[in-house]
Amino acid sequence: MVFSSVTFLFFFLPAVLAVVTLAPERLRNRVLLAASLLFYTWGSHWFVVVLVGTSVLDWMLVAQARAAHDRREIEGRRRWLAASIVLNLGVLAYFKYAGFISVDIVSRFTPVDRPPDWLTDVVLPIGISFFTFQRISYAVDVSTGRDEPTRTFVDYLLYICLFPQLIAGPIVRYRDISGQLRGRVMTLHQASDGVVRFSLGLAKKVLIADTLSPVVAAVFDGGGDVSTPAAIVGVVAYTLQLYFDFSGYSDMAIGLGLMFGFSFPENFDRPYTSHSVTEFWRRWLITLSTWFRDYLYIPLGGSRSGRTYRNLAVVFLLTGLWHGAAWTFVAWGALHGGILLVERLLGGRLFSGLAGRVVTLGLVMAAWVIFRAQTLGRAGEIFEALVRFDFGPVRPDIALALDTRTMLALVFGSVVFFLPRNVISADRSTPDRRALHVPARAALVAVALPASLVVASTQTFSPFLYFQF
Amino acid sequence: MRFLPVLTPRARVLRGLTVLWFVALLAVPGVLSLVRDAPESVEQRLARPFPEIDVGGIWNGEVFSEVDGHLQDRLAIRDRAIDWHAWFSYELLRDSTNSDVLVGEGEWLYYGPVFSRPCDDAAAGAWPEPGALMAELEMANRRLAAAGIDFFVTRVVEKGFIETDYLPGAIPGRECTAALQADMRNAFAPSEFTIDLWGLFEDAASPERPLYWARDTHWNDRGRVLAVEALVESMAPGVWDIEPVEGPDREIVGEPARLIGIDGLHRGPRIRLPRPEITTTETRREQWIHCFMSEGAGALVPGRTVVLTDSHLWRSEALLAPWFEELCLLNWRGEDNPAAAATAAEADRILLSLSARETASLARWADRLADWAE
Repeated sequence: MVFSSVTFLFFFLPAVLAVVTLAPERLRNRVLLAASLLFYTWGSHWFVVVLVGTSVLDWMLVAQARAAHDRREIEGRRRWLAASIVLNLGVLAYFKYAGFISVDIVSRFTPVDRPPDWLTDVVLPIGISFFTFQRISYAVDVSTGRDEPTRTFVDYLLYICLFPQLIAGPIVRYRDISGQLRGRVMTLHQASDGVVRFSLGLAKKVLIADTLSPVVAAVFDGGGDVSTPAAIVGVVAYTLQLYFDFSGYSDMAIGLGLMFGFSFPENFDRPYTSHSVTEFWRRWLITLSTWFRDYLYIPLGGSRSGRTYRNLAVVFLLTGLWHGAAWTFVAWGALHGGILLVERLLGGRLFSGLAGRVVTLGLVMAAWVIFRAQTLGRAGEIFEALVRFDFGPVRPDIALALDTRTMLALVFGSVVFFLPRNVISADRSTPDRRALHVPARAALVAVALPASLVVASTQTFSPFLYFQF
Repeated sequence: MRFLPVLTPRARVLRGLTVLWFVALLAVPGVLSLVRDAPESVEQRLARPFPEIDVGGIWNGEVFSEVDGHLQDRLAIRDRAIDWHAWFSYELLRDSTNSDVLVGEGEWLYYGPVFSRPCDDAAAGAWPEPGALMAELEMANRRLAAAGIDFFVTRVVEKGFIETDYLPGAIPGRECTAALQADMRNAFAPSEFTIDLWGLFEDAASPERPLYWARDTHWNDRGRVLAVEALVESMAPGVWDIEPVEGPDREIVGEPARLIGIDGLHRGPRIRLPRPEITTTETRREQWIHCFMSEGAGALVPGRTVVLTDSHLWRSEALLAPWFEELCLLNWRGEDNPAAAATAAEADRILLSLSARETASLARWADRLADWAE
């Protein structure tokens, strides 16, 4: 079930909101957990058994680690924590990387000809990358004494699979939400902010990201040659599509969280206005960057160990792999890591001022080509089209996909993105600096929300030409 | 913990209204959908029913996708939402909401697969080599002749190749398909069993007197009459003996218009072929088989004629039937219907008529017809 589906918008969400609001406070976590498990089962079916089963096991391992910590048995704590991390990374490795490792590495570079089906035909469970990281976050925070364990398994499982952020983030560190799991209030203030934020996210996803999808697919998946203008349009469209899609989902998750009394961390902060790639990673998928910083980079020694460059390289190779099991993601992570290393060597950024923003955006967009292309070969073809300066006619399938609505989404998305923050957001000096101005809130709720609902409810419009009774 | 300022009364009201508005927008359509009777049909198909819940269906997710479908179909605001979305996309932006529908000049709509399908077939190795196709058709012709059946085959040229003045600029596959169809046309030169409708329509094409509906993919009455006359004359020269009579316009709802969710109602010529001396009776009407018998003083194509066809001739039955002593139309969608085989086996002549984009399936159909006849 996705947030922009008819089932979620018109049936699941109103029902869950009603039941949670009416439920006594002591039962709210249980109601939310039941809703979250139904939500996950709807999209991932039998894998809910794996999710719950491995969560039970992990909860017990972490409890042992915490007990060892409380007894000051450092070795014991390490063993139990290591077992928890091996469990989580093992599950992730099998479901997400078994196919990649067996087909793209083992078969390609060893005499093994054909790996067994149980390695190559693994179905990727939805959200596994997100909840794996959250489970590791809990294991580390609790076993090292940074935070208290949850009172009950229900609270733990709710932290792992709370439906607003279960399948696409933000990745919520346990320490950021542990207090809210124990007790929280649902207020009108938060609920209305949640409505506005959800409306913003839904509009980003349905009205802009989904509208740009066909032209991106035509350029990247269509095969064959593309002219330079088509390649430029494809790369710009994908740059916007990815941001509006991903940040739209995060906005919806944060908005839903507010409606249910949770305050999730921000995940995006106008990333394409960054002056350097280093800054970009402080603004893009913030919760992932923070997770890697706290649970990998710093434990590896961070910047103080004299191995800064090695640590950065490891973090970015894994960041690439986290996004997907393919050489394109490895190359994308390596490219970002390489640019970061160069920036660090040059003292933080390649250029300053407007030039820094333009160069950073150019580098990020170039990296998106590798990220989006199905193969490195296709990425090479797009790069070649970008520098070939072939201004011949745009291929018909791309021209057809580039209709008025797509053009509007391109222009509107660009303009909205690069507008100064204070045009739509309230004064940054206020405590809630991401709050929107009243006109922007009104436009979102009164216009963008109904428009998004209309589009969402027609997405499955599929008339038959012949009567099919 | 978030900073929560104290709200002024006005802010409380505004925030309360915001939440109420949100809940109403989401919950009201949902609740209405559940309390009203489930629609029997939507979009010219049966509405998807609520599935039977079983463990296997939950395990593999079928139940959930079926429930999704059911809820989508019975969503209370669906019809309105489709109207608004189509109005915004087509009337305001001149965009198509369906990648299969190309928005042309004026009110003209075209069906994209006409241009993309042959090219896709060729890329997949399924588009036949013209010489080989003709050899297979000739083989079927010999087999049918041996069974005492006259065989005719024709390809119906689609609107996109005839009403070219209103085509949009960007059409995926157009050049590739045009080349494939040109080669095929050369191979389909008129012979004892091939009927060239393509050339006929090309010669008759005129922007002032279109042969196809603007918002539909099919022939209008003018195009139908042109095709019916050519087919009758090819099968029984000299039978055609009248001039068509053009009456007041009639209205239809076009299929591409339906595909993009707009009204699609539009006008076109109404043409009659008056044969008062002939009485035509419908003798059979099943989902994929329609049969007629005609009798009277006028000339008729003798014996039983079976036409295996797609929607073009299927929709021209009223104009076609009065020219045949006995006519049965078999719709190609009823491929597995055993009655179709029995009907074809009793024919005196068989006409195989498919749209040009379906050329790749002609040989298979001809072979099947010969099997049925034998």
